[in-house]
Amino acid sequence: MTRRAAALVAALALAAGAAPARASLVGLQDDRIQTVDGPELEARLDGLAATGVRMTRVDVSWADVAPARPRDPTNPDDAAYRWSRYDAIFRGLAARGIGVIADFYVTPPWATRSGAPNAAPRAADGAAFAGALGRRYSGAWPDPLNAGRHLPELRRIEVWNEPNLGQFYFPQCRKVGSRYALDSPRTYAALLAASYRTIRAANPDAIVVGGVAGPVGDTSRVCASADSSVGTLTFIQQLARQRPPIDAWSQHVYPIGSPSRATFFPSWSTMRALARAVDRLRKGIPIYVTETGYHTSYNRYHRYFVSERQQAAWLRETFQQAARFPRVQLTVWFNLQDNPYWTGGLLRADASAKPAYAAFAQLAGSSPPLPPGWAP
Amino acid sequence: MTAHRALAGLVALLAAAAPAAVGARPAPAARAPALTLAGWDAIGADFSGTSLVYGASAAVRLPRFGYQRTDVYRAPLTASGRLRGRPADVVVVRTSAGPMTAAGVVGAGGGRFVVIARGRGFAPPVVWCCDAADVQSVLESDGRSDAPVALAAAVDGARARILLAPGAGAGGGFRLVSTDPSVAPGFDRRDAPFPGRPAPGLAALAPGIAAWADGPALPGAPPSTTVQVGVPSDAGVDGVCALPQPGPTLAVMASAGVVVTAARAGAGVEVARYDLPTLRRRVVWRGARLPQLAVGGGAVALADGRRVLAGLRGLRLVRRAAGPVAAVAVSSRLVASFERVAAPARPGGAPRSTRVWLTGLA
Repeated sequence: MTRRAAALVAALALAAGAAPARASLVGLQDDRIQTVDGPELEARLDGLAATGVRMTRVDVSWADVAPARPRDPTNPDDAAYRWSRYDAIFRGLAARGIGVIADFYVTPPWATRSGAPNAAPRAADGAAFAGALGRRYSGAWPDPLNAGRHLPELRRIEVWNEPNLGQFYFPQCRKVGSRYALDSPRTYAALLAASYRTIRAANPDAIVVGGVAGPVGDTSRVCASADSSVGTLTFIQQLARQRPPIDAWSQHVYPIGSPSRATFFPSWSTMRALARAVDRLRKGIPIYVTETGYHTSYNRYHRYFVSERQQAAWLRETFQQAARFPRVQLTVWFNLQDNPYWTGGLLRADASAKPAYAAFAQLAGSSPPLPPGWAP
Repeated sequence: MTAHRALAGLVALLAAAAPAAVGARPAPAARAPALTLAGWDAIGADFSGTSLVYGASAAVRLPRFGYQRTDVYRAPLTASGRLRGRPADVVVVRTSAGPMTAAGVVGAGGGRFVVIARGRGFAPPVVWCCDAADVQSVLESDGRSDAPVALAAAVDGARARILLAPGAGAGGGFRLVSTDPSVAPGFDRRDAPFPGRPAPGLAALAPGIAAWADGPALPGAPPSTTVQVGVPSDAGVDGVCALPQPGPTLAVMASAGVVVTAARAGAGVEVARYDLPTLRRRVVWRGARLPQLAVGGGAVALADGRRVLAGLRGLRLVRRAAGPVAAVAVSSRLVASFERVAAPARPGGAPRSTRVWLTGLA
């Protein structure tokens, strides 16, 4: 390739929002981090940092931050908002040099008729909160505890979590006559579009991440009931019809079988098919795998499990697979530690290390520093 | 207890009159199988109230990869013992940790059950199914390589009980774990020492019963020639009594009020039942090899080759199977036999299927 052609390719890639080819960043989530405060939070942050990880994902619970309806929901300083825990989390992560991607979900009771935390919110309500989140963590918001300093920037914000699954976003389908018709892509598109505007208005550098799609590939029985789960491909296809603005697609991948051999959708072998589908939303945008992993014992939420030794081997293989796809810029292992409902941790529930812990630490320790735009 | 005694007396009288394992004519047979399952999966089955519950375990082979599965189905039955609607796949276990073998399925009444999703290379999960909303409760699931291994499980009143053997290379003894199956995992869990060291297949739990035979004292040695029976509780096992066997014990099963053993007897195998509270030994079958066995609803069933025998007292022939019998289950009214035939479940399907026949005991 001539120098001119290479420059043209690079320019086109940048114009399309694609990053230059490099190995996927290695991430690790600790889902207990947003449930603790004070010394316990500091201990968990230290525990996360001890793995050597440089990127993490944080679930922001809208219901926890806004237990009551704010008068001005776009204003992070509204008296109804409770940010102190998240201030501490993002401050603590930045102090440890760990970059963050954050997702927000969990509908507050005041924002829904049913009071259910998985109720799909009105797009305007969700977007107002997204805007407040984006503003508070734009990098320009004064830190209430440290005069003269600013709260860290959240450069990447995921809109919701697994909106294609009834467990997190309800209803998926609405009754039309005697049948159910798929509706979640339409309502989610409205939430994504409205959130895109408010987040970008708060921080023009922010990258708004859509999808955050749960690991469902099968769409053969879509809309058997109001809470049917929707396969990723169907979800993207329907979402694309609404043309919501989006900067990156987030996908959750929990293969049945080894990372290099599993063929069910979504898995690493179907990543090209996923990328083609995502191109219908916006050509060439990055893909973030913001949850992946293997469970080491059976639980009713994840019925597939592997041995602890397999988990360690397949963790290495997961990141090898991720490196094959330059478009997959980030891969986050979920989770740091087991709980009774989730056994994909690097640590067991009693905090003893599984073999995967050492495998992850070796991988994270040998990763290059975060590139600009990712580092805190 | 009074009912137990009266029943035991009646059973003893009838047993004296009826020769063991004798049956000249099959019971009136169903005209068609209740169900046809694709493939020759390993099967574990039991009745629970008016449902048949069965686990089907097999390897799933796909073009580039494979995994192991155990699916546990609940098949509701009519009062006349016919299938009512399609069986529901209520517990689904998938793994790549090792091959899965026949699940231990123990009915708990009302369509509920406990399943031990057995296999090699991992500690089997134990799942109770299910509450009114059909939500299961995972009673035991431990991914450590030296995790305790569930040998037996059952629901005993309001408690689920699990007999755990120490994991490979792990110290410690056998434990009896008791928990409330209908609440969150780990809630109100009691852990007590178990007064034996049974081998897999040589232990059973049932309401008010813990029965077991100790495994070989040395590698390669035969298992114990004594079966122990006691009363389980949250504190352990009480009132243990010994049931001498004619030779090394090959199988131990139990359901409410009944313990069934199979043991070597000379060159053959002897199956005996023991009814509570007397625990008097009654040989119900003698044969050359260990048969497929089931106990439930006060009845015993076994499959000796293609002959399916069952009864509330002595055994009699209830069916001649169309193929090798993979498993049997029995209630006070019905026998289920899972028969392997070389014919597809549906036109164009895999060339093997398992036919499930339901036969009346009367």
